[in-house]
Amino acid sequence: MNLDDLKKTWREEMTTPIPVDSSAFTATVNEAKELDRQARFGRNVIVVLSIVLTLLILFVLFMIKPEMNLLQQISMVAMTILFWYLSVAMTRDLKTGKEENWTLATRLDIEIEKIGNQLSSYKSLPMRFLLPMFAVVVMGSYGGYYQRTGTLIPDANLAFYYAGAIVIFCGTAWGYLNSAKKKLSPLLDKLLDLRRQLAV
Amino acid sequence: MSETFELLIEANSGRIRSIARRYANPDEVDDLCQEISLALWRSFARFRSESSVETWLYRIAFNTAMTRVRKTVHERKKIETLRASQLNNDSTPDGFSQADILENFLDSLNDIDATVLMMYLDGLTTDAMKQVLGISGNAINVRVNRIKDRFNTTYVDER
Repeated sequence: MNLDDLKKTWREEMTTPIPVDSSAFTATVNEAKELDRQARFGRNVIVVLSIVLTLLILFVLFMIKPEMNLLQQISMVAMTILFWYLSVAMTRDLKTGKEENWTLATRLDIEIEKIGNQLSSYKSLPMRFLLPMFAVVVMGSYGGYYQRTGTLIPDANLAFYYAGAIVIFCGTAWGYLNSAKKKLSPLLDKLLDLRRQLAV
Repeated sequence: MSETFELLIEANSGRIRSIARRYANPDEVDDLCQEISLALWRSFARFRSESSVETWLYRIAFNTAMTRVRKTVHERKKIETLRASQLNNDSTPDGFSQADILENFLDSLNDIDATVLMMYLDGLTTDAMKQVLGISGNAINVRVNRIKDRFNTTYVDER
């Protein structure tokens, strides 16, 4: 017996028709379309929110000219910038992953780059997005508090609010870092291993 | 689902399932078949018969199976453990059918060599395999010869 003798066995397996459940497939297609639609909707919401926030801030700062202290003004601008950063990041993520018709080598390279980018995003998001957002929330609320009360020392309500913000910040940051470690890193290792196998 | 596509999937259902069986846990084979079908459906509009249906199908199926994110790493570890235990139990091919030997041999190969073997046994030319894998024809021929040597060493020389 040699390897070519197995061709017949393999072809028999290949040509054995298996009943295809059209309804299950249609359901999967619809589910995929729905997920795509939801992803686009999520991105659109963030983009619209960024535009509205920008226009609102410009309107408030230059037309109404309210009495706002520097901390409040900085936090408003910073929050707009962060939303735009998130809009751009989400738009970039949506651009990838739809094309399937590549060679395996190219597809692996694309996936390695994509997962690598995702991994570094997940690792850096706490510092690049969450921490600035936390700082903006603290600045904005503290500025408002100072304007309202005229005191520099936070009261119990504000302290409780900050404690809550810290818990949310830490929890979200942990979620991203944990996903990076448990999900993305092993997947990237696997893809790199496949790429190495292909090169040998 | 368009009628043409439905016919194409039906005609290649055995091929899709065989590929899925290699890359998914037994209880996840149906899911992977669905994912491959979905990827084929997404790519179908751009398929203009520049390559054969088999080449196109293998390309999409391997791409989907090897790069899918969902549960991939966890599943692959379970499959590898399962394969290792099966290989230990079935170390001698005596008394095995050709289908058993084929499955056993496929399980003993790494993922890339297994893809090459599947396409080789399906009668794809070196050029077609190049279109699927994106490596040189020479590299594919070297790999095929290496697989043949390994098969002979394991199943022919020892008997």
